[in-house]
Amino acid sequence: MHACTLPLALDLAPEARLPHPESPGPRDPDRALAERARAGDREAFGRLFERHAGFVHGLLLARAPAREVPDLVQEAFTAALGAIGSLGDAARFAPWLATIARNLARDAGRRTRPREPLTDDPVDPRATGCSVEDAAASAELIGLVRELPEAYRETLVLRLVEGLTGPEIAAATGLTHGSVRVNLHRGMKLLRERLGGVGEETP
Amino acid sequence: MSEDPDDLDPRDDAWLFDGGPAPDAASARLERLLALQRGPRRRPRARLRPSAFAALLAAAALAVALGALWSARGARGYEVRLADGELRLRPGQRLEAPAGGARLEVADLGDVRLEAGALLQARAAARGRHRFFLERGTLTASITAEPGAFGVDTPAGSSVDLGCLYTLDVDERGETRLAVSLGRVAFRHAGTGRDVYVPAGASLVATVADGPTSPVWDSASEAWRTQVAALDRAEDPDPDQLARLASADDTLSLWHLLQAPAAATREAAYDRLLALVDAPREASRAALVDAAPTSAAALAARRAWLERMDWYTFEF
Repeated sequence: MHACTLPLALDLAPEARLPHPESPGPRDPDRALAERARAGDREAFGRLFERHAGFVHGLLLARAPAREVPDLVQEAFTAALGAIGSLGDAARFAPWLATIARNLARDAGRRTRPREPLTDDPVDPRATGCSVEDAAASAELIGLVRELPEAYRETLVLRLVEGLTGPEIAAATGLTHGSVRVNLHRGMKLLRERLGGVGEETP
Repeated sequence: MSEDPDDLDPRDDAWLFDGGPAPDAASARLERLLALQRGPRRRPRARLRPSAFAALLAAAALAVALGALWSARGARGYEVRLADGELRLRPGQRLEAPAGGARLEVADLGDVRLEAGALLQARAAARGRHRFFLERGTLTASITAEPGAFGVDTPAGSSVDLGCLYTLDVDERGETRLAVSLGRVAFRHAGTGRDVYVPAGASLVATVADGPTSPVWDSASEAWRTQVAALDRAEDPDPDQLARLASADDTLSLWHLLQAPAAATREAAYDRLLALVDAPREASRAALVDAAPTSAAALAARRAWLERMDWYTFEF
């Protein structure tokens, strides 16, 4: 058992959520935090971690088995901390971090392929409070999502697993609102077509 | 499906894009099932049990004192990646990181990054444990492991990883700076027997002769940092500094000052801590002020109170 994994801060206070790109209020907290982190402020990096841990978790979950994701999240932030000095535009911290995470997932996939299929163990019902049946259905469902084209599966995981809204996904990934919207709708249409009963209510 | 947003189902759009309620029961169930894949929530926080704490320190002390047994894995050594190649560092061997630094894979626990010029020795360790000695330079450890499985000694003490990401910087005199970015690290100085806990966002400095200072939050003022360092060492503390403890609200430094050599410092820290954090039965004045800080009673009292410090929590 891992005694310590990075705190995947997904129950975040409203102010800690990813910013709506069109919202007023404090201007671009990522930029300020990333500038401080780049200057060596570890507390600022910790804040960036809290703001983006869920986002990175989602990016990785779209590409890697769930059991590997906590370690990959840690690896992504470690790599980001080591490379923060090379971050150009501080306002682009999230897309920069996303690139690191995607590359890590790609490297991890190359290391495990083809010996290890991209399958998931069911989530632990004791940890989530769900039934064994729901845990199994959830694992099957995320497996189906992972079979979708990359753009769709990433956007769907960020939306439905991590709970980000479309505008939040756009802000973090650098995609336009229109692209996120299309990815979500197309991905969901494909997922529904492929469901074959998974996730459907049983009578 | 058309790419024209105007053609999208508005109920789906309100759900998918705006994060509104699911349009039907099947979609709601799908969302609920997928949300089960979300990572561990923040809190409720689990606490490291005193027994685990004791076992951790015992294991750390044992590893430092004996340091002779190693597992087959340890004997095989560690894979080291350099800018221009790879090598293997076996127990007993030393590595001076070249320009471009070095990165060690520590079994399946994580990795250690060395900056150029850092001098590191792999030490023999018991099965399932990994010990290193950082003689000089800067090391950043990113470890996900059972508490105590990974540790780095320096000339000024031993750090034991409680997860997850921290940096050690050792200068030519052996003076060590420990800064924790994520998780928590325990630091012990064999000479003084002092136990220090450094949570994320805090740091300490340890010298070869005197061991570690009490950790201080990175956001603390320089004046507070100086004052804590002075009280950490003073046999006859400055009354003005003691008076200032009465209004301090930094429970991290206050708890650590319960190990100060001067009873007057311990008393000032004790009185202030009483006002800030409920004291358990064991945390009596007799144990924490009157008794020697290295006594069994003081140790038990500190550990009992430690459990109630908000910074002494463990992320799972």
